[in-house]
Amino acid sequence: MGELMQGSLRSATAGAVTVLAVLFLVLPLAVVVLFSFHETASLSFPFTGFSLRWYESVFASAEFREATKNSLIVATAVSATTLVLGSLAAYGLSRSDSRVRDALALIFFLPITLPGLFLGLGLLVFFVGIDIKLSLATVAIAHFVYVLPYFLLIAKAALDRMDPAIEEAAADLGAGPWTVFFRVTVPQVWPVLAGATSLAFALSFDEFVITFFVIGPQSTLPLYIWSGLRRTIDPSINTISTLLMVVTLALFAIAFAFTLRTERRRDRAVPALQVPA
Amino acid sequence: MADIVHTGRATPVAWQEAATTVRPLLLTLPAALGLLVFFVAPLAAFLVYSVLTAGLFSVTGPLTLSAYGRALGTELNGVLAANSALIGLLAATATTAFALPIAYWLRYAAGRWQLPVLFLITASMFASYLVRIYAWRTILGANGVINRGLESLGLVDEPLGFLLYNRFSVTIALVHIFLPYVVLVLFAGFRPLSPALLESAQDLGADAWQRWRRVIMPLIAAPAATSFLFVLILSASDYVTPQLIGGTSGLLLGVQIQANFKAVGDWPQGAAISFLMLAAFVACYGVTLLGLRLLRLDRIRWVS
Amino acid sequence: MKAHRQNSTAGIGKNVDPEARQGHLGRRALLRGCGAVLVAAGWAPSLFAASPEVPDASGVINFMSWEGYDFPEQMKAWREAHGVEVQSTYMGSHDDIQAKILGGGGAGLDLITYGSSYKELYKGLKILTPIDEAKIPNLKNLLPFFASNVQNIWVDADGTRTGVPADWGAIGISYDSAVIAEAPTSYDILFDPKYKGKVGMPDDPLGAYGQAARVLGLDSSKMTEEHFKTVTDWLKDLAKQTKGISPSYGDVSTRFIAGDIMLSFMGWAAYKSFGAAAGKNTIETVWPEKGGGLSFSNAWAIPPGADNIDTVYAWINETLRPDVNAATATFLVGGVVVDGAAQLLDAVTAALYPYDKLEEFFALAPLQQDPPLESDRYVTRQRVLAAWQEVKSAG
Repeated sequence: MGELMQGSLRSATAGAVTVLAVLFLVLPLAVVVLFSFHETASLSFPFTGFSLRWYESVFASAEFREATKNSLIVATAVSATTLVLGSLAAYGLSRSDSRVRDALALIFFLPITLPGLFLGLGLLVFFVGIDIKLSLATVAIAHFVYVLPYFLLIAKAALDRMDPAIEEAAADLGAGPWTVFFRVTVPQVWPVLAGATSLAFALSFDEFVITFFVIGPQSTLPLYIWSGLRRTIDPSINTISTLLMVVTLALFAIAFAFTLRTERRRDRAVPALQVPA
Repeated sequence: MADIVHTGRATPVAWQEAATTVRPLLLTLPAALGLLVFFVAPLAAFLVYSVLTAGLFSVTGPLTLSAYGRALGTELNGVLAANSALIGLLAATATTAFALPIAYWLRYAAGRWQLPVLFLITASMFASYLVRIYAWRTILGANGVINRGLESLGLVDEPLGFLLYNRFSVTIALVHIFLPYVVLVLFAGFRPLSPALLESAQDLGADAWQRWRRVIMPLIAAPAATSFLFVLILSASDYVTPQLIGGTSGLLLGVQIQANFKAVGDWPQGAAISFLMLAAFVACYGVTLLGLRLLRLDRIRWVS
Repeated sequence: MKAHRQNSTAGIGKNVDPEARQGHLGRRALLRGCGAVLVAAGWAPSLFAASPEVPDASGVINFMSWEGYDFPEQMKAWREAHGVEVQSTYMGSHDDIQAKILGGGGAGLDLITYGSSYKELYKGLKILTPIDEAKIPNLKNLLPFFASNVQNIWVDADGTRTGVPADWGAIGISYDSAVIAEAPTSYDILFDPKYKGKVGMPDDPLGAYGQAARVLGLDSSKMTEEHFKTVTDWLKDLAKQTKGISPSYGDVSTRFIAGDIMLSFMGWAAYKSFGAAAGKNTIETVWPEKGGGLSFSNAWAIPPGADNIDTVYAWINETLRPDVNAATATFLVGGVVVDGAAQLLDAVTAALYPYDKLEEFFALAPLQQDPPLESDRYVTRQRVLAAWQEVKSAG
């Protein structure tokens, strides 16, 4: 009985912390959304009234549309590449022997330790040195380097903690390594990989420090916002941010609803193969 | 065969054996090659820069360690480094300390709230970084949410000035930026351990403390330690947040790196500071790994 | 065209006219001949004289500058008429330009701007290429001040032009008239203890040193060690009155609007307009007798990697039309550089600066001059920039 109560106390405390944290995370977002509808150009209280003027001006702006398009292209390319190469790398790292693994992991995590500015300038000098023209492609390459450690951290955390017994069993039963990977490993960790990929997308989409140096004569969305800082800040940046959040949440909602149905259908079919929920 | 069905429920307590028949390291090759070309090579070039002589937005001539001398010798760099260490540690501690219970709750106690809460947490990652920092101004400022709330409740006469443009606001903003990431990492770390397994540990006689020490801690120690280090280094090298809401006391080393590269044009010093930070990170990472290994917290062993 | 020239230089004499051929210089022939001369007279100047001609515009201009300086609306008609596309990279701070170009990212970049105080540096870094005045006929439209060679900002001592003025603005003391009833008459007000924590300051090191030196009766382009220390200490004391130095001018304006500050060193006249857009009409800017202020001016320039130079000339030429200049000045909330443009401004923009007493104004708030790149006698630009980092963390 005591044990049970302690258990729920723990859960309750954790729950309370979660609620506080969610409020903490969401409060600035609420402010962002609220001010995107502000009638004047002010980003501070008092809040004088609602208006759609910033939404109108943002949608009317060709630079905004162009910048958004570019950001989408880059972020999609980056997250796709990171998903493939990063998953392989994470799998390789987590299934290998300790000494080499730690050294290799360190190299993979190194880009995080260097400020974006440094990375951007270094890559600029490099691209120019080997005569590659600056464009969205160079931005994508730079973003891949930047994003990979984040992806690896998450993917590796999940892969490390997978029970290898099932993989071993499958291998013993004659499954080749790729079959093991795709039909045993991936089904167990795909939600984590999906989360890490969406993280990669978000990071790439929001990046402007490195981007400025390695981009050609184009702009991406965060660069567009960043450059607006020179004059005064107005709620159009809030508008852009709100649109981003809404679109992402919508996409997430769809994706998760879809996969939830797939999972439930599969679980109903073969209970024994139920992944640890 | 029957084993496969039952031994989905191994208790992770000890060391992990290297497993599969695939040459695992080969899988890292494509990513490693990418990094080699596009990261290690520029990095090496910059390492060379850091030991060259500084020109105006350029490098020339003889090899010299003077950039490192300037980096270590400038008093301002020392002050900012100390500030970065302080704020970095605060941010990293707060972030990890909050993220742990959240990840725990999400994994074991959330039930049908798991996905909605995950959404909310992930959503903040998609609100642009810059916009979020400005939002903190709206919240912490003299006319902001908190001050107006306190004033309207009659708790204060004058707005609180110490909420914004100092170390406090920088730390808060940094925690806000990094919390979702760390939650995701720790959630990923918890994921393979299902509630059922936790229960079976309980059934096997482990009390709460033992469950924590022998089941949860080993599971989460490595990712928690790594995320802690990441938040620490990322905070220290940030230059946007400190300049927007850091006031004069909340400036970090990243600002100095930026100044050297963009305004002053002393590339070797900018590179030198970056490499010194890199060295510090590698040292901390090494110490952490060593510590984890000594405490036998770095690997999970699945025993069936 | 050559055919035309031949006909007209040939004069009336060679005009084929049946009557004339009959040796009879009839009146019709005379009239026709006079007509021809008049026509030729109208054409001739453009055909003969080595007069400036605007090159044809076409293709893409790769542009890097502050957001807005590519004038999406104001130059739209011209762009569409000539089929020109402008691809822009916007910078967040002036230093982005040299960082990117020197990092190697300048290939194909056709058009940039430089602030008046960056001239020396950019010249030293070889980022500015000579501009052919013959290809920009509208240079004649420039206001006398901007046509004269002030401090060699736009034209070098040897006569080579490196920049064409695009806009200008002036920096003084900005204050919130809703809170501070009387306009400040000296820079001492910034140190008043009752405004501690309520003073703003942008991250503009050269401007700050320039203005601080002026207040102290010194010249930041000619500072001895002693002067340098005096000015630096003054700035550090000022920084203690702030809650942090804003990373940009725009950020100072945001703090005014939010009520976080009531005064600003290096206050920009444009704040009034920014504030008004946000519902705060009370931000004013003054240039006290003692200390005055500083002006800045952005100029078009052509970097070394440019490949669509003719179109750039055509662009610059177009911006020097009075109506276009008035439109761009309104958009940028700044000053006009072209004669006749001031009359075309709306009331708010026209009120920003005293166009009727412009020369006097520029005596009170001269264009900023910067410390030298290299010098034995005076403190150099790099040292000022390095010291500024300490100012940022003072207090």
